[in-house]
Amino acid sequence: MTSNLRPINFVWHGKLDDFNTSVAWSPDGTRLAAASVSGQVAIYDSAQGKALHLFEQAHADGCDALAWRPDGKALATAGRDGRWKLWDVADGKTLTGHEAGAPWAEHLAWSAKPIGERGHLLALGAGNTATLWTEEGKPSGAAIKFPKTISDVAWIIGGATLAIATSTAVSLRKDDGSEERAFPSRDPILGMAFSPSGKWLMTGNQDCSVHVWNTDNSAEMHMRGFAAKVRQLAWHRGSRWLATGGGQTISVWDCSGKGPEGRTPMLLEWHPDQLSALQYQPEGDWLASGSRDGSIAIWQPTQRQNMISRAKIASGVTRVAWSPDGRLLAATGEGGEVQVLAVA
Amino acid sequence: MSSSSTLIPVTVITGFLGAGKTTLLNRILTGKHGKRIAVIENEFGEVGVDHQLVIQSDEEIFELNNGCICCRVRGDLIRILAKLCQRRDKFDYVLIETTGMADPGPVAQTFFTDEEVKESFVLDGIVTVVDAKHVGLHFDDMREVREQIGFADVILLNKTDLVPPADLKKTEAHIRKMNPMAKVYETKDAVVDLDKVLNVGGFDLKRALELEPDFLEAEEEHDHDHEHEHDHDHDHEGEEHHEHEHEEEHDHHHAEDVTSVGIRAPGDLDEKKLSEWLGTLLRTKGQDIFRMKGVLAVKGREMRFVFQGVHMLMDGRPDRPWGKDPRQNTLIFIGRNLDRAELNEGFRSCLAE
Repeated sequence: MTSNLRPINFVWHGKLDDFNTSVAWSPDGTRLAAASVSGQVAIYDSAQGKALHLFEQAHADGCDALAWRPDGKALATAGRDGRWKLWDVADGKTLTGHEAGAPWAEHLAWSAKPIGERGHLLALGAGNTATLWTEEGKPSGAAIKFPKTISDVAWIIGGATLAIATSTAVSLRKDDGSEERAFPSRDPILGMAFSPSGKWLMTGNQDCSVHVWNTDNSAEMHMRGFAAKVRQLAWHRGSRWLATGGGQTISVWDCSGKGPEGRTPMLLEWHPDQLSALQYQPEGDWLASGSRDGSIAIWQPTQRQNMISRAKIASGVTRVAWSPDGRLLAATGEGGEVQVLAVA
Repeated sequence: MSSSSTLIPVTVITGFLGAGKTTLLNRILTGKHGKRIAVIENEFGEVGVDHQLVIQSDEEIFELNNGCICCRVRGDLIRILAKLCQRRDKFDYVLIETTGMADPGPVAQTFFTDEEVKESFVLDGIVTVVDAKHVGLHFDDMREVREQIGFADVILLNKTDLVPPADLKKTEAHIRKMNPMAKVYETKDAVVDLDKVLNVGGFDLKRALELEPDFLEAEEEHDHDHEHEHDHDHDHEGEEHHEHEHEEEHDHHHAEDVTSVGIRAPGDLDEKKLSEWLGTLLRTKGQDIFRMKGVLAVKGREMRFVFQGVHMLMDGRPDRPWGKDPRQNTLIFIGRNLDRAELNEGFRSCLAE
């Protein structure tokens, strides 16, 4: 199996001063932003790896989230100082900054589409409060309070519907913030992933299970038997395949037809330590995985020759992120590594 | 994070509002111990000193398995500890200050059931701060106060300067009956040697049986003083579903609902009977058992068997040969409405023929 592996080009690498919490490509792929638990945020030129901006203390006590405004001209950051900020990417200045409403601001997501007259909206999750902000960083609408702490925030169904996960439910919101639909869960929810088609909702749960909802009829299924909590959920662009972590083995589930329950997943086994990151190419079929021992693999799960290539970074992988064109892969590490690589 | 060698100890500080939790917390933070401490304080907490790593948390209970009390963990702690781990080179000890109303059960269970938390942290002990002047009032009407005393490894009987010595003795005796396993220290302004509250190894099997030598004496006293209470318990057997209403109506009785049962007996135990008894006991009474510890002599086994547990979770293993020590069994249960006669009887039924 190893003989046919394709070589890896280590294109460039950067380094932040501590555990890397978040990494994000600009929408056109020309910039890469990375954040650390020390509060550093760097914006790199993605071709050469030159650090165009380094914000040493973007957020005191750590930066947890990064999100590029869809026009690519501004970057939103949020952190453990309980604030979020909007940075001008051209000159590196802070455009605006606001209190998030809780000690830690952990989740950020821009809508992929404009929301009515309000333009693209930024959803911010902090504690049990979600707020919406305009492209200029002004508040839009009232804060949405949840009974429990927000565990995940996303814009789904083409990027125009807001989904908020708390431990007890995934809640879909109308443009005015009111609840459109809820998927309650008995087992506490840690994270969610809607299929690009919007048909399937998957959550990773406290009891090491994955819950699956068919949003057409709200039928709920469970997949159990994972070795650890499933904190990695990655959808293939075609909405047929879902890759899950939860231990050392990647499971790839066929979600066609009636869905994955009762089906045997494809198992991708190689990582010697627990998985910490998973992502499919935005426009391709390759799956990138990272593990806590620093190992990185690239797979094409539907092919007989599953593993395409592999690599290693100096510390445990915290995130993997494909560039928008799928040519470059960024992998970040517990020691602050920012490694950009490509399959030769 | 992945190949971590040492577990970071965690001390939980509980106690009713105004008992002196924050005073103790600040005393620890400013004390000379060379530790870099991360603090998780409750939403009403006020760490007075300028301390770097302070995280406020809103108590959030994760219910698993249909809300079984023994499966409740603290979601907020799981989330915060996971994030703290990303900075683990910045601290080597964690203090958690709970609210006065917090149930210590889910806090403790978080450290025994969550694999991610277990990988990096170890619960060292539960320290309960008690207001010596006012606790007498709360014994009766505050379930939380009794639970916090029942769960404790260390109890600081604080504000002793405000109480006449005779009253203090009475209060202390009352606390010891509820929890003879804990070390009780009388304090003023929460002044205590830090090695009495940190690194106490309250859940460490190696130290499981460093029970106060007089714990059984406290027990016996208890038997004599409160015989009426047993009758009371028996009278109401089979009415467990009414327990709550019942408590509301009979305040003068339920002050004693947190009790301890200690057993010390020579003789070897039958392994099979023992495991059946403990298994059934935890399954049926686990939600009322706060803490338990024991060292047992099992027939045919050269090694002592030690165990400790919280609610239904039990951790046990052989520790060392008995050697020249007389083979005997020492157990203690602390919990709510424990049936002394039934526990004793159950234990005796495990003695080998």
